[in-house]
Amino acid sequence: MTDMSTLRQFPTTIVICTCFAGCSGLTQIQDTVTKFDQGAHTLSTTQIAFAKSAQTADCNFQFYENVWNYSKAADPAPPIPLALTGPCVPEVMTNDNIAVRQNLLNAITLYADQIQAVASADSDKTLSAKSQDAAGKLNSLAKSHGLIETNGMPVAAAVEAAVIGITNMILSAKQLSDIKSSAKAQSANLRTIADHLQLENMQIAKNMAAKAGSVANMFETTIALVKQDGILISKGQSAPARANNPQVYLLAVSARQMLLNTPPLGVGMSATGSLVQQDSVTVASQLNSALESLVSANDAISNASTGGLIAEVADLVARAQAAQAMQAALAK
Amino acid sequence: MAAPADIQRIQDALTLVNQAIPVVQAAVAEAQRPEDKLALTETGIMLVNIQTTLTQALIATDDNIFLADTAKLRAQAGILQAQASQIQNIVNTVGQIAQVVGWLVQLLAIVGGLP
Repeated sequence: MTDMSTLRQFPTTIVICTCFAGCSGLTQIQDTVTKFDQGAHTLSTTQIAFAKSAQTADCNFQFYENVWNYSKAADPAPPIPLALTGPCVPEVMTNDNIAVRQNLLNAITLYADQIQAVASADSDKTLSAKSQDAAGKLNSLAKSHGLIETNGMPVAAAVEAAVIGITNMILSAKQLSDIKSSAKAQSANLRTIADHLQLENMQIAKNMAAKAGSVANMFETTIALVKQDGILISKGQSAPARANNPQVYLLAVSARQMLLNTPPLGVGMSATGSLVQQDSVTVASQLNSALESLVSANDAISNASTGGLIAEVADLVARAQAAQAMQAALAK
Repeated sequence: MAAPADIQRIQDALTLVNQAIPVVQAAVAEAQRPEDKLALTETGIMLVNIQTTLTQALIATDDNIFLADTAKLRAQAGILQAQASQIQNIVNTVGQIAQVVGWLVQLLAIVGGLP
């Protein structure tokens, strides 16, 4: 009797075990895709924060350049107005540029949300009405060439097509069932948007670093000129008593303090004590690595086993968080 | 829409500017005479302004590059040309500047070729 009972239970046990194995695999993928979604959102917010830092850097540079030009104007006619206060108009990353960037990042995060929905056990794979509405508006905007940059030019046709491709997928999500084929279908579109953002990130960072260096040059040269005047005065060769060595010292100290306290042009001290001006490039590199991880993680969703997917998504999350932390330090 | 050749010019100009700026900025520290520091700082500021205009063009257009800022670039290049002749005199005291002067000549030629 005992043997028969065991035999009767055997198929049931197999079914239960199979279900657990299957459910466990599904849960693992769902969990990993949730992290993919979180990584995409972290990356998105950090990209925007970085763009706003570029604006601040631009405005700070404009201020120091204005002071520089004002200070070297020997004759009040024609006067160079000193703009100590007042609005700043960023040149490198305008509000329009940020709006376009936000739209591109919205396409990425909506896609990540959608992939998460496809991975869910729910039979309805559509996003919320709010997200659907956002995807619809973005889709219409891209189709009408409305992703407008400064000076009224649309973004590149390939980027526009990528946004349309991603939002089309979201708008027809009811038909989606297989996560791998869904991810594969958007791989090229994600690559196109990532390439566009990576190119921007690095050039913006180089511009920010150049501005930080230029402001430092202004201070350094000013100090050298003041010192020269001081030497001439001490030799009785020149009348204007506007500088001496203690003043040079104080000017140098205050200049350094100003540099340290001017976000995001602010420069930190390296381990060797030298000033570091490459923070913006480091943040951009980390952002670009995170974008690369996003594309790789998506490829892993479409191709790899669960193990490969976990590794790629872990890399995305780590890089996005690192970029976020670096950006926060840059903006301090 | 800009021609592919003009897009390439903007990218080439950016490559030169990106190379030149760190060298000019480092040369400010290396220069001993305050007048040399002054000339190099002025050149550095103008290069940063040109880099800003080129970066804006790059960001705003990608392959659909716009050249609405061409006039601005040309004006900036004109100022840079005058400065380049000034820093030419610094070549003897700051060795790296010879290299920069060469880049500036190339840069001016590229900007001059824009429509």
